[in-house]
This record gives sequence, structure tokens and C-alpha cells, in this order.
Amino acid sequence: MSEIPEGLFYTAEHEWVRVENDGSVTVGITDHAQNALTDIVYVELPEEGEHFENHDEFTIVESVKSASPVFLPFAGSVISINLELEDTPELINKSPYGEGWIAKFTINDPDELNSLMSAADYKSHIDE
Amino acid sequence: MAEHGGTLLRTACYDEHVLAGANLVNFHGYELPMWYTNIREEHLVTRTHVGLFDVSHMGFFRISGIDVLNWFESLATQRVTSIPDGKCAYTHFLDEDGVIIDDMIFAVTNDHEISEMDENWSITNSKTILGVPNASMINVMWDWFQKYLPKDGSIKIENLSDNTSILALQGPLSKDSLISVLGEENHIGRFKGQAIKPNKFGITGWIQGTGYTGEAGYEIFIPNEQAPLLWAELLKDECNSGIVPVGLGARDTLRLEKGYLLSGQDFYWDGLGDSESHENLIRSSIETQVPFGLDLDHDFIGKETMLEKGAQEKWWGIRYEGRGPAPRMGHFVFAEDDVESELLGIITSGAPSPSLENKGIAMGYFRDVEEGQIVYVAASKRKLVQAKVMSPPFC
Repeated sequence: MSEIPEGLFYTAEHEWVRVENDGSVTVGITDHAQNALTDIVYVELPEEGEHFENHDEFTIVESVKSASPVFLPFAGSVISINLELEDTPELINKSPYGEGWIAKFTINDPDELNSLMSAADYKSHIDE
Repeated sequence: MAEHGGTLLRTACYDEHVLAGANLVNFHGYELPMWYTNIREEHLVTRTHVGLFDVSHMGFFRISGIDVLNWFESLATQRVTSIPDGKCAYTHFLDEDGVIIDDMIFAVTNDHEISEMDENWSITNSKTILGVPNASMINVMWDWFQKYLPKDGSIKIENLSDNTSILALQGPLSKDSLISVLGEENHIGRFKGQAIKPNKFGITGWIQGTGYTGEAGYEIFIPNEQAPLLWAELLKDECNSGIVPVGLGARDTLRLEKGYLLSGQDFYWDGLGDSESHENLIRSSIETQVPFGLDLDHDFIGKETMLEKGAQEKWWGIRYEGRGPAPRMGHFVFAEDDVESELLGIITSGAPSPSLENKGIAMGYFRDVEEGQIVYVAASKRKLVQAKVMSPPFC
């Protein structure tokens, strides 16, 4: 049974998005995604300051079996990256919503998040 | 291998895989486990303890006749007539244009051993070859052998694939697991083979000291109806070897670390059609550089054409020096840290190596490279990763 915390936004491609108190936005992959990928062995992180458009690939999460691109569901720039993932990519397996966060962004237009899924919507999506 | 489940074929151990929580995938039309827990863990257990693989999707041919070794040798890159009874060997088969059709492990044996496996076998002092074609190539190899079969009926070939299950037991402690279930007299050394001797579970068939992992181990060929029993007894692990079931995912990384070719991925026969999308894979044995199975001191189909064509590119290993996404099938490899520099070749197989702390390793066909050369893999849109050319095995 996958963990799907309330209060986050979700995408059909199994990313989660959390709006922080300071208005920045943190992105990671869901528990369901890390379960499907299993043994995560490498994360190709973006660079601080890098700008991405909505739907751009901003990172690659890799298991022994395959490399999976991760897409940004809004336009924004990288404020910080989770450097812990360089040496311990398995943090995504252990704590996908916590220590396994991937990057934090500024967001150009917060309204872009309105098209994302709620926890309940995402649950129905993965149960389909 | 046998029954149909929907459109996919299932092996006799299908229910065991489901019970063990396998992640099942479609592999060349067979519904097979990709992993049970995860690839990395299953890989490492096979390197340190023992792994059990259901490889029943692979084929099993029995080819017999007084002159079968000479006939087989005329088709095979291996010096088949030099293989004594009770031994196994590796070979390629080339077409008339010198292109690899498939590779195969085969055993050479005799009437005495076959009659132990098959009570209806009649003794004619013939030799028998037991060959294991790749899953997707069973029909192709069958047709290829039929095409060259002597018209006088002196050689008989049987396709036992549908009735035969194949379990592979691989790893440094595989001997313990084998002996605890099939007894001491069924232990057999590397690249040797024999009919399975009587044992407490009534398992019958053929066992050989071969595999696809580079570890000590066995491949066990048994009637489908016996496969679930043998599978379950081995996994009971009464000898505490630490055995686990292992899926196709780890099978792939295990063979990659040893630099073994994978049919259809590292080479492809253009006789199957769709040669355009497989252009990089239409290869001869000298291009693959596999250090065994190629003997040029005998005549075989495709030999002269292969030698005339030569090898512009050869199959080399590369191992990451830098960090980055792993090298994967289709990645381009360049001479310099620049995608405008000379393109040296394309990766055919690659992955993070579980035995080497997930360092990227790969195989591919490259031109003008030498051992130790530094090359650059275009592993993602943003990055070229530095790697070193080497001859496998990687570990």
C-alpha cells in the first residue's frame, strides 16, 4: 500500500509537489514510484539557478534496471538541490517525501499547480 | 515451458513465482519474473551465496547420430569434434554471409547417458548433442538445422523445449544447495554434464555445470511436471546456503559483469527482418571478440565470408571513471568530452554494476579503440561521462 500524504500536489507521472511557507516549491517522486523503481542507485541532479519550463525533464532517477526522467510540472528555477542524494540515492527509497526530496524551486505562476492532482485524485489514479 | 496464459506463455513454475511475489513481465512472449525483491539484492546474493533461476523459456534440442559431431561442427564456430563425452561448450552459428544467427551452450554425450534419461532410447552407438537455443531463436535454429540436415536420415533432431523446464542454480554455495536436494552424485564440475542420477525426489533429466552468471553452478533440465517440486525443495534451503529466487533483471546484470553476449541485444540476425533498426547488431564472431567458442582451424558455414569481411569494429567493455547516469543500450560513445568529436561506437548493453558499487559498465561495438583508452559516454542530455575501455570480465 503506497503512502500518499495529504496536502501535497501530485502528477500522473508520480511526482509530488509541496508548497513551502516561504512560497518555494519542493519536488520529489512518490512512494508508489520508488516502489516500482525498487533499487535507486543514481540521481542526476539539476544545478542551482537552472531554469526549466513546464514539462521539462529536470532530473533522472536511475535503478539498476532503467533510467527514468522526472518532469517539472510547472515553470521555475532551482533554488536548492538535495546533495545527500549524490552519495545516498537510496534515500528516495527510504523516505520519498522526506529526506528523499530532489530539488526546491521558485515558481513563476502558482496557478499552474491548480491542474495537478490532490492526494485523493492521485490515489484513484494509481488504483486504476 | 508449456502452457498458455492468455497470450503469454507461462513456465511450469509460474504459480511459484506468483506466490514468491514476483514482478512478472513479458519477455519474448513468456511471462517471467523480472525480480522478486529487487535486482541489486538478487544480484549480490548470487555473487555471495546462491540464486535460483527459472530459465525454462530457453529451448532444448536433442540431436543424435553416428556422425553428429562432424555435422554439427560444419555449422558451428566451435571445434565440436574436440569435445569429449560428458563435456559442454559454447558456440556461435553463422549464416552464409558470416553473420551470427545465435549462440548456444551444448553438451556432448552418448547412448549410455541418454538411455538413463529416456528408457525408450535405443542403443546404436551414436553420439548425442544436447543444445540450448535462446528463447526467441528456438524456431529459427530449428529451421536452420533442418535446412542442413543430411537427406539420408542419419541425424535425428528433436525439439524437447515444450516439455522441458530448465532451472539454473548459480553462486559460490550452489554445490551445497544441489547436494542437499539431489545428492552428492549429482554434483558435477564446470562445463561437465550427465544424466541426473537417482535421488530422493525422483527428479530425472540432465544436469550440467553451466550458467550465465560467471559463478559456479548448474543448469538442470527436467520434465515440466517435476519443476515445481524441484523449485520448492531447493528454496526450502535445508543446507542454509541463503538461496533466493532470482529474476531476469539480475540475470542480465550478472552476465553483463562477465561480458557475456545476449542474443537479440548484443547481436541480431538480419534473417529475422527489420535489419534497419538493428544495424549496429548485425555482427560476426570476430567482431564480438568472445574469447571462447571460435576455432578457425576447421571449416564451417560463414567462416570464409566472415574472414573476408574482417572486423572494422569490435565488442569492447567500458567502465565508468566519472559519475553520471549509467551507460545504457543506444548511448553514443565519443573520443573526447564533446558530442562533436569522433563517434567511436554505440552501447549494446549497459547498467550500474551491483558488484562494483553501482559503477557504470557497458559493452558495445567500437572502432579504433584500445585497452585503457579514455572515452566519453553520452549518458544523458546534459552530460558526457568519462569511461575506460577494457576487456571483460569487469569483476
